[in-house]
Formats: sequence, structure tokens, C-alpha cells
Amino acid sequence: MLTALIRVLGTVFSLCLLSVLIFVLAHAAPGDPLQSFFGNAADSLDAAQRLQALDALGLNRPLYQQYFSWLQQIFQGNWGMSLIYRMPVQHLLPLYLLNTLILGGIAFLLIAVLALILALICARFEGRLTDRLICSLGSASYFLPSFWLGVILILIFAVNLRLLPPGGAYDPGQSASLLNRSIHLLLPLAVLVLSHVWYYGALLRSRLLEELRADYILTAKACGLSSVQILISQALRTMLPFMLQLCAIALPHILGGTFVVEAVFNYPGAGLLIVQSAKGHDYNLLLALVLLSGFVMICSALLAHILSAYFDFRLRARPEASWLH
Amino acid sequence: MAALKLDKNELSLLRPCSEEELRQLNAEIHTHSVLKHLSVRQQAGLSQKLALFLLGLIILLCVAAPLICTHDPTKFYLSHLNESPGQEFWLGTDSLGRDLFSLLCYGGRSSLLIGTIGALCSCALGLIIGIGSALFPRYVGVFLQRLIEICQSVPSLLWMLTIAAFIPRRDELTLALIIGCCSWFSLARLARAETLQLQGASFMEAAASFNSSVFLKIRLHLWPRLVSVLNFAPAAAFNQALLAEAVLSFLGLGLPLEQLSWGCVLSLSGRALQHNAWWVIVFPGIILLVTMLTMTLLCASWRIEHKRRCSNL
Repeated sequence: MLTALIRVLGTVFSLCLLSVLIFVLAHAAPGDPLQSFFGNAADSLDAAQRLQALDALGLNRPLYQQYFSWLQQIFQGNWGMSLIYRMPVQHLLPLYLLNTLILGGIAFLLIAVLALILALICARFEGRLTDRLICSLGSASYFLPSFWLGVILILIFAVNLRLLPPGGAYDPGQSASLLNRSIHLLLPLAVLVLSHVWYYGALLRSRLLEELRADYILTAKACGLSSVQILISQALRTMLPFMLQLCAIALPHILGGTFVVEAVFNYPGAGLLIVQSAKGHDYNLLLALVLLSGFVMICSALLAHILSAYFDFRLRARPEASWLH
Repeated sequence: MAALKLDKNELSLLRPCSEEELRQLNAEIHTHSVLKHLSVRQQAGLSQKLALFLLGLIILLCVAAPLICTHDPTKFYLSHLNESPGQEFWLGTDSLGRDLFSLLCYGGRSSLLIGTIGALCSCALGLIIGIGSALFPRYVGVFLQRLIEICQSVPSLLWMLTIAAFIPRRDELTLALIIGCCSWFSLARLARAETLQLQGASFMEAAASFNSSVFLKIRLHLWPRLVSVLNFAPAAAFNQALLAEAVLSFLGLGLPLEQLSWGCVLSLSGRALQHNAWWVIVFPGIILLVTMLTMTLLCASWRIEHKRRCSNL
């Protein structure tokens, strides 16, 4: 209980440090600070109005006071103006985040299922041709730079075969059509899955192979279970905590991996926003996205820790309890 | 090896010996372990030789570009826009009429340079911060540990994009430093874990009992062990930096277009898609991929495989 509390406190401390870092970056951003509040209207202010505006916003108070008021603004959902979209960041984000969540969520599920299936097949045929084939193909797909793979897929399927659309999330006017959306999702999903699946597949495979060396597998085999039965009913069960932990780590990793893919496919998600805001020097939007992604990552690391502590039956099981039943 | 270390350290604990003697003793032990290590390394297979050959070829092409290339990479051949690979232009031309082969040869110079400087920077930062967070006394160590955690909480590429947006001046050195400063996190974490593990070893206790300085501990006890465990890190960092340069330039936040690098050539692929010019997309990607694969193969030969027992399945 105490270690869990220390862990949670550490997470809170990390979040505070992250926010300080983002605040310092926001403060160091080149350009007129008033512009990030008022947009281009800041240019038409005269000197007295500027001073008044700086006073009203508290921009000439000491730095630590500014930090706390900035933090308060963040908590109240006031994230400043986006320069390139000319609207408040908090109104802009939800739509784009939803698109990223759709792409990243489906990719996450596909990667988790595929990685597990591949790892099971590899473990069943360890050292044989199937295993070696999957391993080498998997490493090859893992090594392909994802942006290059995306462009190659566009070249093949959109430009030459004309089967799939080259980019975007939906055709104009068809944002509600599920079919249209899923057709647009196919290529980005393929890139995401191909470039991530073997990272997790290889981790699961090596862990599974370690697990197959344990004595209880030999016992199960002596009891007459077939290889597939042992894999599914015995080995997989002991992998559960590791898999859950892996999922919690993989979620931000895959969400983070979406932004190059989104930029390649011009998919209107958080990744595209990041690239565009970095190119257009839109610091409010950029730092809001950095803060958000850091927040998600730190929280999911905590979640991974809690999950693995909660689900690792071997850590919790007490020998005398098992004798009572 | 572990048994030998223990015995000698225990022996040295029995009688008081000077720091000089201890240093000699340790040096002897580590030379032995490094030699043993070298003999493992020298069994290079066919794939390693092939990888070394290919990597050497690519480096040679980049270094000797003025001797090999038949065209000027900055010259626009306006009558040969988007020409497919052929007799005059070996790998074709891009949408501005530049020779792709020369572009790749000259572009490789800055790409490889950025890869090397970025890798050096990220390895140095990762090792210093990783070892420091494990060795320094309480508060500095905890702070460094938190720093690693926070930096890792945001993807490296996002840090790079953010810092690249803040720095207006773009040349090779700046970009390499940006990449290096944003990619040391995982190495720092590994170095920290390894150092923490070593701190429990008896030879570290022996060194502490002789009141040896931090630098002596690092040089004699930590460094040889870290080198043997983390020797794949420089190659991995090089790959990461090379890829980061390509991605940043591709996204339009790396080197400016008039500078030549593999990433800049790849950033032309958007225009190449309109003309269906596959060679502009395929060849830079392949050369990037081959460089990364050969580096990985070479660094994989340095790692010692631990043998598994046979399966019970």
C-alpha cells in the first residue's frame, strides 16, 4: 500500500515537473506573448493598450506567479489561441483527437491480437521454418521506416492500382459514411500495424519461449495435453500480467506512432496538428499537444504498474490459502 | 569470471592494500574479461562480412562523391524532368531535373554526418545522465531519474519537432544536436539499470571500503562492464539519428530544401507521387534501409547471445 502511494506521489511529481518544463518552453517561445491570447488583433494595439493588456493578463508579474495562473488556466480548460487555425485550442482539439483515437484504437487492437497470434505460432513451431520465416519477415517490416512504407503503399495502391484513396479521413461531404471512412483507414492502419506488430510480437515470443522452459509445461505434457492445449490453457495464462503491462505501455507508443502516419496520409488527427503547428510556429497548439501526450504517457505508465501488481497472481498467492480450498 | 572477481576481491579485503595495488588488480581482471570478449566478437559470419562490405560501399560512395558522380547534384537539367532510370541518368531525375544518383551520393554526406554526430551526442548524454542518476547521492539522483522519466513520457520525435520549431537556424550541426538531445532517454534508462545492478556487486563494496573516488569507480569498475553490455548502443543511436533526420526533413522541419540529404530527397516524394515517378521514392528509401540494416547486423554481431535450454513443449 505504501509503495503504491509513493508511486502515485512520484507520478504527481513527474506531472508537475512536466508542466514546469512546458511552461518554461511556452515562456521562451519567440514572438509577441499577446499574440497568443488575442491572435492578430494584438498588432493593432497601441503602447498604452498593450501595457493595460499585459497587466490584465498578468504577464508582467513574477514568473512563479505566472506559472500558477497558467496552471489554473490549463485546469479551467483555457488553453490559449491557435495562431494558424485562428480559434481557441480547446475547441480545436476534440475533433482531431477523436480521429486519432479511432485510428490509434483500431491499430492498437489489431496489433495486440496479431502480435499474440504470431507469437503463439512462433512458439509452437520454435526453430522450424515457420518460426524463422515469421521472425525474419517481422524484423524486416519492423525496420521499414513508417513514413517511407506509407508513401510506397500510396504509390502502389492509390496512384497505380487506383484501388484506395491516397489520404484524408473521408471524402468531402461523407464524414458520416462508415464505409467511406473505413476505406480511408485501410492504408494508415496497414502502415501502423506493419511497423509496430513485430516489436510486440518479438517481446511476446521471447517471453513465451522462456515460459515454455518451466517445469509445469513438462507436467502438463506428462498429463497428456497436446501442444496447442498447453499453449492456450497453461502458458498463455501465466503471460496475462505481462500482456496487460505491455498493453498499457503500447497504447501511448502506438498513439505516438500515429503522427508520422497521419502526416503522410494527410489524416486530420493530432499528429497532423503537431506537424502543422511546428511548421507554422504555433506554440500554443504545439505545447498543448506535448503536455497532453506527456500526461497520457505518464498516467498509462502508472496504470501499467498498478495492473501488473494487481494481476500477478504469483506475487499475491499465499501457499497456506491454497491449502484451505 | 564472476568467481575469479569475488576471490580476488575477497583476498584484497583480507589484507590492507593500497589503491594502486587495487587498481592493478582490477585492471588485470578486466583485461582478462575484455580479451575473452574479443574472442567472441571475432567469429564474424558471412552476413556480417556482407554487411561490412555494403556499409563500406555506401560510405565510399558518399566520401568519394565528386570522383564518382557524373552530374552536378545542384544543376537543373530542365530538358530531363522526371526522367526514368536510364543510360545518362543512372537512377533517373527528380521533378526539378536533378540527377538522383548524384543527389544520393552528396546527400549521404550530410545524412551520415548527422547520424554520427547525433549518435555521439545521444550516447554521451545517455551515459552521463544514466550513470549519474544511479551514482549521485539522493536528491541529484532522484532529480535525474525523474528527468529521464519525463523526457521519456513524450515521444522523441515530438520533442524533436518541438525544439526544431523553436530554433529557426537550420544547418547540419544544429539538426544533429537537436536529434542527439532528444534521443538519449532509453540509453540513459539502460545505463541506470545496469549501474544500479553493479552497485550491489562485492567489488563495488570493496572499492567503497577503500574510499575510492567516483571517477575511479566509474573507470575501473563500471566502464568495462557497461561497454560489454551496452556496446550495441552506438549503432542503434546512429540508426535512430539517421531515421530522425529523414523523418524531420520529410515533414519539412529538418534541413532546408536547398541542402542535400537523404531526407530532403525523400521529401520530394509528395511531388513524385503526382508524376508517378517511383524511382524518386524507392531508391532513397532503399539506401536508407540498407544503411540501417547493415549497422544493425554489425552491432548484432557484438552482442553475446545467451543460450536457451531446450523447450519442454
